[in-house]
Parts: sequence; structure tokens; C-alpha cells
Amino acid sequence: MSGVTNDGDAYHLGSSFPVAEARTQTPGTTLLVTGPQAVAERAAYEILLAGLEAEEGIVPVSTDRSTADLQRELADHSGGGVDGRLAVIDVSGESADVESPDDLAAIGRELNGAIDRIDVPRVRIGVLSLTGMLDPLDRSGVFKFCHVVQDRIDDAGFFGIATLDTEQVKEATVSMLQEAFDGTVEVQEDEKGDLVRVVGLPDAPVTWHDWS
Amino acid sequence: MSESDGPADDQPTVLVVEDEEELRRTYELWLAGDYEVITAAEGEEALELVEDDVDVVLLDRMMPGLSGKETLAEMQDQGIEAKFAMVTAVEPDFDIIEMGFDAYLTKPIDEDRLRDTIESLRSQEAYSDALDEYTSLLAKKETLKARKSEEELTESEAFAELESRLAELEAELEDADSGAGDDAGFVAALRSIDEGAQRTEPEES
Repeated sequence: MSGVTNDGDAYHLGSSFPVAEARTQTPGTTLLVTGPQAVAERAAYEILLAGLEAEEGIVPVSTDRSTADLQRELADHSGGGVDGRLAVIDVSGESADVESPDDLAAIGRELNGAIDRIDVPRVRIGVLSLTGMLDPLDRSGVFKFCHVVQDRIDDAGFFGIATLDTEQVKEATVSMLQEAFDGTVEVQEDEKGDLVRVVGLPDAPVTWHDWS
Repeated sequence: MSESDGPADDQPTVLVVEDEEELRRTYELWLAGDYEVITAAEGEEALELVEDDVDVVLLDRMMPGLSGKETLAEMQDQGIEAKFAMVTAVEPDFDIIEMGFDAYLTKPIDEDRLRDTIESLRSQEAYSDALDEYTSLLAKKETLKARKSEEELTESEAFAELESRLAELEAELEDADSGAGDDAGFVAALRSIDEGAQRTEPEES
């Protein structure tokens, strides 16, 4: 379901994405981005915002900060141009969208609503972050949520990512949640900058690449 | 499959709750070949007839006495774990799904749509059962991996069985329809996780 490089329908992770073999993903693919919170977030912003150039809709699901905060960060990251094709769903309880990350039916309803509002056939969904859902739900609940969302993304031919903070979550939980995704984008940071590798995708080598 | 009329039949059971007799008979006629069909003319009667082995309940929205919504709430209180479809004359909003319905049918209903809806609900049930088992085995596997060494796991027959059951379930999940393909189904599929989480808490003792 991933790793196709010559498909016109593919979702591009952005020209800066260092792992060439994984730079394009077939519709219906979902990837888990794991690493320390801040690094995983930067990676997720890059991957989501790459969709703006391709006229895609972007639907971030925010579990731990308000819509305004996230919009500001995305705008900063994109250099300003975030337009009507962005619809943030705030499930952190900060706004009225959804009261809490454990109200899965409400998240589903908001996701549908956001996709309708954007009204473009190609959509990137990003759950930022799963860590914020693991408090009210347990890992089994979060896993099932991811599985159903993945199924939905697969049916609709969308593209999805979710971030998970490896510094706050047990290894066994990371490893379990990975199973609900087609592949994992692992990120970390050293003194020179961000590093990335992809795991679980058929054609991509599992080696660390600089991401600057 | 036997020809007997007894309750021990292998056919899935559908409970039709509809106050208009003609419709009740029509649905029964359409479904009787493939399902064990029970009918009730109103909510109260349905509550008396419903049993744990009912797979799908078809509830008319507007009925004298208990409404479809009230009947659903009562059945859920009784712990009936069937899939519920609401039959309604008007195009409903998501509130129907959030009330606890898994699907809806807008009148007038034809035979194909009725059958499709029931089949899709049965498939959703299979998906959600497989997902429950898959999730709990996956959690078990991760717990074992955290506690035992690689060698212990390689040699363990129980662990090999766990792995092979997981692979089977994965294939089942691929085949089964989560129901998430349409807007209402997606919300219904997520809602059933919510309910499942509430039912099984606390887990992983």
C-alpha cells in the first residue's frame, strides 16, 4: 500500500523528506511518526503542509492544544500560506468541537464535517498527538480508534499520519500502536539536527537520514 | 442448515419492530428465506420478545407508545448487544448514530437496501468482534515481549499460537467491513469502540 514512486495519485511527503524511497505514498496509506514530542511534531508539520502545494485538504486533529495555537504554529511553519484548505479539529477540550479526546464518536463526526467543509477530493489527516489520547483512553482504545480511522482513510483514498511521543509512552505501547499503521517514521535529534528513518515500508531502507 | 422452525436454527435473527402491519409483513416476507425473523408491532412488545441471540434490530422511528429511540435505550439497558438500524421517514442527522443506532434506512425501503443494510451490520459486528480480539491479543503479546527474553518467546508454543491467531485475525479484519466507508458508518464504528471501552474497563489486569 505504499512506496509507489511513479503514481500520479501519490501523496508527497515534501521535497525535503530525506528518505527518497518513502517520499511518495499511495492513497489510503497511514504512517505513525514516533520520537520526542517536539521533533515528531516538526516532522508531522512538514508532512502535512507538503499537501498545500498539491491543493490537498489538511485536517489536523489536535488532542493537546487549541485550534488557534495549532493554526499559528502551522502558519509559522509554512511561512504564512495556510488557507481555507486547512480545518483543525480541536479535541483537547479547549474549544467546543469535541469535549475530550475520548469522545470518539464526536471526533468522527467532526472529521466528517471538516472533510465536507474543505470540499476537495484529496485529504491529509494528522492526529497530533496520540499521546494526548492515551491519557483518557487506554492503549487498546487508542489502537482501535487508529484501526477504524485507517480503514476510513483507506476507503476514501486519503493519507493519514499520527504522532506519538516516545519519551512519554512505554515501548510496548509504541510497538502495539505501530500495528495500526502501514509504516512508521521514526525521528530523533542530535547536535547536528533532526534525523529520520522509516520502518515497515516495503521498499525503503531502515537507515537514519539527516533531515535539515 | 435444518428446516426446523425451532429457535436452534443457525440463521441470524432479525427483530423487526414496526407498527404498520403491511410493512411488518413485507419485511418479514423479504427476509424470511435467510433470517430467523421475529416481529413486534410496538416497542413494549419488542422488549418482551428480544433475547440475547438477536443479531439485528430494525426499529421504526415513529411508533405509538415507545418510540424507536426509547425502545433502543431500553434494550441497551437490558444489555442487548445487537446491531440497531432505525427506519425513518425523514433523512436523519448524525444524532441518530449518536443515540446508539448503527445504521438508518429512509422510507420507502426496497428489498435490496434492507438486505444490504442487514448484511453490512452483520459484517460490522464481525469486524468489531475481530478487532476486540485482535487488540487484546496484541496487548498480551506486547506484555509478554516486555517480560520475557527473545529466546523464551521463540521456544514458547503459546507465543507461536498467539502469533498465528493474530495473523488469522488480521486477515479477517482485512475482509470484514468496518462500516467506516460512509460518514454515518464511520461515526457508528467509532462509537462502538467508545462503548466497548466502557464495558471492558478496567482491562489488562
